[in-house]
Amino acid sequence: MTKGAVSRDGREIAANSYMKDVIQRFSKHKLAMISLVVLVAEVLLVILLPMILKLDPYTTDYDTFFGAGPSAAHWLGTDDIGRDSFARFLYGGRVSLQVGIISAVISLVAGVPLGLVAGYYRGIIEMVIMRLADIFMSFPSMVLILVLVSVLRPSVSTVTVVIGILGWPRFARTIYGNVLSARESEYVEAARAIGTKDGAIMTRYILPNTFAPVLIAFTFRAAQAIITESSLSFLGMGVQAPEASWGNILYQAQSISVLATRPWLWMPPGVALLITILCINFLGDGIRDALDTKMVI
Amino acid sequence: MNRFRYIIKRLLIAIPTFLGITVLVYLLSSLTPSSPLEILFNDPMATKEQMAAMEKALGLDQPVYIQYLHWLGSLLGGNLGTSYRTGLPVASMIADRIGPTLILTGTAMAITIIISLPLGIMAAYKPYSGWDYISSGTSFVGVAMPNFFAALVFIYLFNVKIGWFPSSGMYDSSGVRTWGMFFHHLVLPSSVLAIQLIGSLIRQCRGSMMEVLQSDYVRTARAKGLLEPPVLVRHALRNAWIPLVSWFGMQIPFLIGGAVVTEQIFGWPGLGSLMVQSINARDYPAIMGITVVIAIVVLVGNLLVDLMYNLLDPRIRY
Repeated sequence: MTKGAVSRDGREIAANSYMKDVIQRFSKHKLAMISLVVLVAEVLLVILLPMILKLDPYTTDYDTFFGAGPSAAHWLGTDDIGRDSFARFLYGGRVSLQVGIISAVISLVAGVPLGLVAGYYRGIIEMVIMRLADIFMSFPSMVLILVLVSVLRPSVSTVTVVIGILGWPRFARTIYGNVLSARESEYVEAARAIGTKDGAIMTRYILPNTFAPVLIAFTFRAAQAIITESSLSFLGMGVQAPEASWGNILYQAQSISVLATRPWLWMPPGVALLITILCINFLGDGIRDALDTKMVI
Repeated sequence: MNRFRYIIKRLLIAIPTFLGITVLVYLLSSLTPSSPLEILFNDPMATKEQMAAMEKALGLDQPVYIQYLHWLGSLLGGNLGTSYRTGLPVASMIADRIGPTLILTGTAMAITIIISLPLGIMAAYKPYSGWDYISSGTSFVGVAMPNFFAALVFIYLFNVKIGWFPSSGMYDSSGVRTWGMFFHHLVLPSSVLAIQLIGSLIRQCRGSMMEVLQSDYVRTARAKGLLEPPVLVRHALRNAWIPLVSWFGMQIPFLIGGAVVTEQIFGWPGLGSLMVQSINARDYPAIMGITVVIAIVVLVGNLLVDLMYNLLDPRIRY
């Protein structure tokens, strides 16, 4: 009993100092810190600002011209049917960020168990799962997503689920590589020797060790998902009006007259997308460097 | 002989992958809410008997796997079916469109290599110098730039504002078709498609050059008094190529995905814009045909990359 308590204590102390170490390394990474601040500010803005300013992205304002320029009432003007562009920009941000994060969670939930099982059991399961992952990764996912979305009906939820499910191979591969080395380790061997069940070995001993690479894969996947959603919506096959997303606001700029005469309509969502992706990528790099304790920053 | 066996082995692996994709595409298109019968036989006066006869004639009364095998059989015979939208054979529609797509993606690749290699090599040669910051900055922005936003910005700047380049199509509407006009129209779409690749190749190139530059043989080459340019090109770059070639292979799907968006914006008459048109029209024979052709292009591309890998690195044994 005493022995267990001591070792548990010991582990807690070790875990603590490791986390401290990681946070310290992360906070030294300037670009990643700035990115984190920008992303948090962005999330707060798209959530709070519409509430504070009481913005309405759906209702036509008959008091102004349709497609009017920026004014005190409409900071970014109005769109072709008189809706407030600034409100649509903020609501669009909500949708874009939400699709990115939720679909990355779906990819994670789909990919992690597959990679875990493939790496742990090897053999035929490994072959089937990893070959499938190869097929999915070698095929342009944009094309598959387009086909899928056209078969189902495009909407926020379909787009989220389709992008999410098609993102599984990246997670499966990441996990798989880590499981291959972890399953040969002494602590797994020891667990097996005392008769721990496979399921428990996988979830309690192997899974926690793959936390770092999965977290990194998650950030990059979220960035990728945001780009994919906006590309789809830009093509008119993602988020549908009256719902807004950064991609489908840019859809209007496919008309050359909007593109040429009303840059305030399409520039903000485009720049916001660019900044968001840039920040997520920096954040991912920062996390990678912070978790890799061998690297000197 | 060894290489020949390797090619055969690779081809044999490609076959199940190809079949897997055809099954997936067929299953997806059979999930469609409206059946081909309703689309093809759009006659409200038709009696039940007439519908049934038509169903039989189209083979739609058979179980799904039989229908799939029929489709696969005619696919292998080069018959991709008839487009619902245009009434033309899908195979000939694709044949018209594949050339422009290959030219567009090929040009984008060439632009990527011309810009990224010098930047990546310089960054690796003098890390943390001004060059390195310029190229790292370029690569971060390039990677984060959504394709279609880059397209809008380019059209806004180079077409609307200064009017240097046309923003749509392969030729202008005058009916005259010259090479000069063609290249003039190619500039914007291929540059846009190159942006993301440039970002990613600079990073890759910097990384693999850095590694090679620290190797013993580069130190030896310098020690025996070789000038820097030959060291960089003959000793370092030749070895740094190997990871770059596998980068090449991994970019093929992204290149094609990017082409779908880029072609649509620039009205480039390639496979990508045909795909979008077919999806908008729910033209399933065309969608399936294009997807299968893209799968073939990807598989052949990967095979070529593998062979190149083998030519560049004689150490690889099979």
